[in-house]
Amino acid sequence: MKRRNFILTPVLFAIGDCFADARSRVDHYPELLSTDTQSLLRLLNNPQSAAELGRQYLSDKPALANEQALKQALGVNGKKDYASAKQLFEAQQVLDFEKGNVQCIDGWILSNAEASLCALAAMATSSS
Amino acid sequence: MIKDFKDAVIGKELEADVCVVGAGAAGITIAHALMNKGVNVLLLESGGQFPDQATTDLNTLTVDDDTEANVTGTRFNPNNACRQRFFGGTTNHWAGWCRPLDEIDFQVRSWIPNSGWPISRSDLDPYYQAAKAYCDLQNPIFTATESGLQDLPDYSSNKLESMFWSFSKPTRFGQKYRAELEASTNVTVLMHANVVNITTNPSESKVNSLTIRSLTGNDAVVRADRYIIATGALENTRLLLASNKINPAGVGNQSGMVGKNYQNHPHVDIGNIVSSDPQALSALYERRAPQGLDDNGFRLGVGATAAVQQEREILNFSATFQEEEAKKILKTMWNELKGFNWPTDFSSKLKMAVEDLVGQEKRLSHQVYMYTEQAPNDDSYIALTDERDALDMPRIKMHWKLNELDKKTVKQASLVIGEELGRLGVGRLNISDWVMQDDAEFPSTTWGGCHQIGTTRMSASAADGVVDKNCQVHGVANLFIAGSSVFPTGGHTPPTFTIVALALRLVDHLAGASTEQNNSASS
Repeated sequence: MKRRNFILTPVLFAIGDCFADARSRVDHYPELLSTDTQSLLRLLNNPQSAAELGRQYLSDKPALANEQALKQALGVNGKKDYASAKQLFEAQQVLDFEKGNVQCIDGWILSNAEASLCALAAMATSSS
Repeated sequence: MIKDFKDAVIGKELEADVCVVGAGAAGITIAHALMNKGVNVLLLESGGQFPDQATTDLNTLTVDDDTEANVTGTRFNPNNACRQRFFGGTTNHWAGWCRPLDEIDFQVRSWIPNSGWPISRSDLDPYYQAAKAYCDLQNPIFTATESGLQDLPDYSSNKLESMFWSFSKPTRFGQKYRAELEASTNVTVLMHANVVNITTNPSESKVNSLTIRSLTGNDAVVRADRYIIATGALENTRLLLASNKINPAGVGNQSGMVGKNYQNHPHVDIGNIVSSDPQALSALYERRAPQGLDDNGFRLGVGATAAVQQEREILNFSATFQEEEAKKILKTMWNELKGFNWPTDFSSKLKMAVEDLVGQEKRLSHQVYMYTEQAPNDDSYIALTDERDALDMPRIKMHWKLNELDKKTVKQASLVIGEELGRLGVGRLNISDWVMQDDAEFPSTTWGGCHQIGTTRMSASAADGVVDKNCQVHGVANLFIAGSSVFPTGGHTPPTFTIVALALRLVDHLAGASTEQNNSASS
């Protein structure tokens, strides 16, 4: 079975339940710079699936395999509560899609923020 | 009246004011409209009222699958599936999708070589209006405003827009207009009459006559004031190229453009939408899809805005979101059977349905099916071969080639759709590998929708095309071409509605020309 099909169902939850709710829009999110990695990973309903996508993303772009750099790409670097992180992340998703800042990972068209979060999940999984 | 050239004694010399060759959407529309203006018309049809094998065999051609061709069209059955060589032409299997071309489709777009019509959308608008009646369109919906729907997705105005296609019954032109043409005293329909040569004067500035032949060996000459060739892009090309007794390049081919820029509408399955609420997506996009024949519904999809085409320098495109391909195909076949019609293209439809059922585990939500404009290019063409058919006409070969711009369009269109679905929270798009790979070829399942476009393109100057803005062959005063072969570019939407509109415009032009001629003769 192709890997894409294998991971499709869990990704549904990750994408459908977590990534798809973003509606609001702002232009910049300096607050996210203080959100820590664990708070961010709580945004994922299924970190394993996201990590699978993240590994693929990092294999295509190995230079991004740096936690600080990914947070930078995500607009996040530091600590923040979960609710704020979720709100700001969702807004970043919308902004990315609007501006065409997207990545194609294993066929999925994801926002840069989503791709970065998946990469963070991949790095967290590999280091745990 | 209707006569049959196959077995009746018709005579060796036939005359008319206007001779229309081909009784499809264009030819029947023209004959019918001219009938209403009192013009004496001879309408020639290669087939009879029903399909027969010997006539269908005249369509046989070669699909050129040399290594240069990106697509050879494995699902493009050139002989039977696409062309219908009997009274009514391809309207006999028309699915009924109607929509005018977009304004941008007529414009010169610097990023698309050979783009630009010598007429604009506004030139055609009155004729689109008139075409509605010919296609039995009752209050068609082509825009969001016309739909009155309040719950359409709020797509970015610089990327996508909700796209509407309204459906003809679909009108079978042969069935609908036969009785009127038969009862007419000024129209003669001649079945089983194949034009095998266009004879011009030595300077090729005027057609003197057509030679017609039946498969039973009858020959005759037709003389008319004006001649309109309306046999589809492939046969229009064949007839012009094969009429080479005076000019070896054929009639109307000073530019060398006859047969060039052969286009279809590439239809591709680009992937799937995974949505958190697939039922809502179905409710939106399947809400008024026609449930079979005689159902004037509309279909909702998405289409490119002019802005995104300009910004990303791509061709026009649209897409539909379909829940289950197999169910849809089987439903169509069932509705055809209920109407006592044997399903068209039965075996390939069944194969597609089974393939889709087998692949269901991959479809968790909606398939995204994309329809794109094809970039006109000289490497995509129709040409004569040395082979001869039963009428001693040279057979043709088809070389349908897609290029880099076609591929770029599918990739960028997929990204735009993915971006908008993500932004709106509808879901995420998962696309097939080949879409993003710049060096990947189109998949073998790509097909053209049976939309034969180009090959006798309309152009402002004789150097760039075959017909002028009035569909008159450049330099040949009394020869006209009707049908989608005159489209320089084809937009993304099925061509029949535009074919009918252009046919009605041609009739107005001929009527105007006739009036001018009569006025100058009487003064």
